[in-house]
This record gives sequence, structure tokens and C-alpha cells, in this order.
Amino acid sequence: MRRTLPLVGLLVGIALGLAIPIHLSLQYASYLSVAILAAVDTVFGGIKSSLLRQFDARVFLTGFFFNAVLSAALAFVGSYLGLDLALAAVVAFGVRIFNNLAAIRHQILGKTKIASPN
Amino acid sequence: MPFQRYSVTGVAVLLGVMIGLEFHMNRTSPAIAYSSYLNATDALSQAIQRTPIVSRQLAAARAQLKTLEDASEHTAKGYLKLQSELRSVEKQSGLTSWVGSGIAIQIAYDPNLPVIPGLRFVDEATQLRMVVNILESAGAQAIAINGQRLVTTSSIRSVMGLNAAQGPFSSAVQINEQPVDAPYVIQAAGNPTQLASVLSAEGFADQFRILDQAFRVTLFRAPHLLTLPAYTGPLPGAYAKESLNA
Repeated sequence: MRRTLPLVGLLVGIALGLAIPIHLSLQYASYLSVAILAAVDTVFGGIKSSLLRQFDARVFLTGFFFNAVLSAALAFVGSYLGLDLALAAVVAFGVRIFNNLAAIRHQILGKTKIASPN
Repeated sequence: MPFQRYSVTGVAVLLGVMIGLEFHMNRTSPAIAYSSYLNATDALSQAIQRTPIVSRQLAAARAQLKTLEDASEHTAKGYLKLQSELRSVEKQSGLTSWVGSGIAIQIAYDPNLPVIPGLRFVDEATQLRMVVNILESAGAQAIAINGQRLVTTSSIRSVMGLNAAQGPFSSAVQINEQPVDAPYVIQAAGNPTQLASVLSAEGFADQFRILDQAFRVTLFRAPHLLTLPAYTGPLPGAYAKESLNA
């Protein structure tokens, strides 16, 4: 039950987001998308540290908010400067997500590895 | 640890809210994704420049719509408008009789005129066409010859055969495909003084006198008005219709 609590929270959050009567216009789509990407990166980072037993809730929380807000702000400033800074955030967080996923995969595979016959 | 567990759950909820908002983003709002402030500014200035053009096009379209609605409505107003337009077109195309000021020209053989040796054949159709052309250039609004109203498809032509009228030898004349014999009476609606002056300046009386023809012009002014008949011959499309599939 404890393990499924974040998943339930995610589903509840999606339901809330769909139920909230706020319709953001399309021009804010890139900001929200980059913020979501940063948040997903933080979540995967949290999962990885949890598997490595290095999870720190404060680091996790501050990373979540800081990364999300900073990436959205970067995209916003980039639009004023005429530079697609959102792309930089997408590349950076994309690489981090894949790295985190690889670490999680290795960790899970290492734990569930079939015992050698020796 | 409860803090750790709840922090993860809270983050999951927040992430879910963000994803939910992303799902029901208003994607029907302006379909252009402005990647930068400069692009948006350019688009805005272009839209502002286009506004008066679009406004003019809109006003023209509204006026056209109103005209079409007025013309198509099954009301007395629309019917009267169509009737008025029909009368105007009929009048311009010569399908109605004409009453007004004008002149009448009589061209007839005059045995009292001196016979000039050698000129014993007269192409009367050519002579009539000359008079008609000059009258039209002088501003005649309607012309008829011996009761045949001239319209845009009318013809004045000589046909093989001899005219039975007195005078020099002449071929028969057909106007609107109908045989017309001398004496000829050309009626022309318009300013009588102007029409008569142009004919006089062209010297038609002298030209016809050489051909043993008297050329007499009578002016008609109110209250003695000229009456021109309507064209009654076949109209374009009477025997064949335009093929839209060709």
C-alpha cells in the first residue's frame, strides 16, 4: 500500500488537473511542457536515489520545485530574447532522464539478477 | 518515514496536476505557436495592418449580400426591383417601342431629279448603312427603318434580285431578314437638331440626289413626338442554347 501511494497520488493529480476549470492558452504550452519535463526528471532522480538508498526528501522537494520553476522561467526569458532556450532545457532534462532510467534499470536488474550456478 | 512518503506523494499529485492541465489545454485558441516574443510582435503588427483591408472586404461583402438578399427576397420590393431592371434591359436592347423627339428621313426616287448618265445601279443597303452609322455616331438612341427596329444583331444587306421600286436598278434590301422596299423611312430618336446637323454636314442630300433619290429630313419635337416600334424578330438563344458542358 505504501509503495502504491505515489501512483495513486499521480492519478488523483491528473484527475484534479483535468477537473480544474482552468484552460491555459496555447502560448503557455511550451512553459508547462518544460516544467513537466523537469518534474519528471526529478521524479526519476528520486526513484534512482531511493533504489540506491540515498533518498533525501529535502533534496527531492527542492529539486522538484526549483527545476520546474527554473526551466519554465528559462523558456519564458528565451521567448523574450528570441532564443529557443526551452530547447536547451529539453535537451538537458532529456539526457538526465535517460541517465536516471538507465541507472534505475541497472539497479533493478542487479537486484533481481538470477543467481549464478556457482 | 512519514515526511519522505508524503513528500513523494505530494510531488506525484503536483506532477499529476501539471499533466492534467497539459491534457486539457485550450488547443482551439490561436493555432499559431509563437516561439518568441519577437515573432508574436511581428504577427500582431501584421494583423493590425491587415485589419483595415479585412474591414473593407467585409463591408463590400455585406453590401453584396444585402443586394443579393434584396434581389432574392419574395417581397414586393424585390419584385419591383427585378421588374425595373428587366424594363431597363428591354429598353436598352430595343425590345420596347420608343416615343420621343427625333428625326425621320425619307429616301425616295424622285423622277424630277436630273438623270446622271452611267449611274444606273444603286446598292441601297450600303447607302442605308452609311446613314445608320452616321446617325448612331451622332447620338441616336434608337433607329428603325420602315418599321424594322435596329438592334445589336440587326443586319442591313443586299440580296440577289432586283428591287421592284421605281428608279435606277437596285438589288433588294433585307433588314432583320425581312424584305424592305423603297421608299425608305429612317426614324431616329435623339436630339433632332444635332442629328439633322450631322446629316447635313455629311452632305447626304447631295449624295442621294446624284442617285436620283430625294433625301428629306423631318424633325419631331414635343408635342409631335416620334414613335419607333419594338424589335419583334428572333432573339439570341431562340433556336439554340449555350452548352455548359462544352
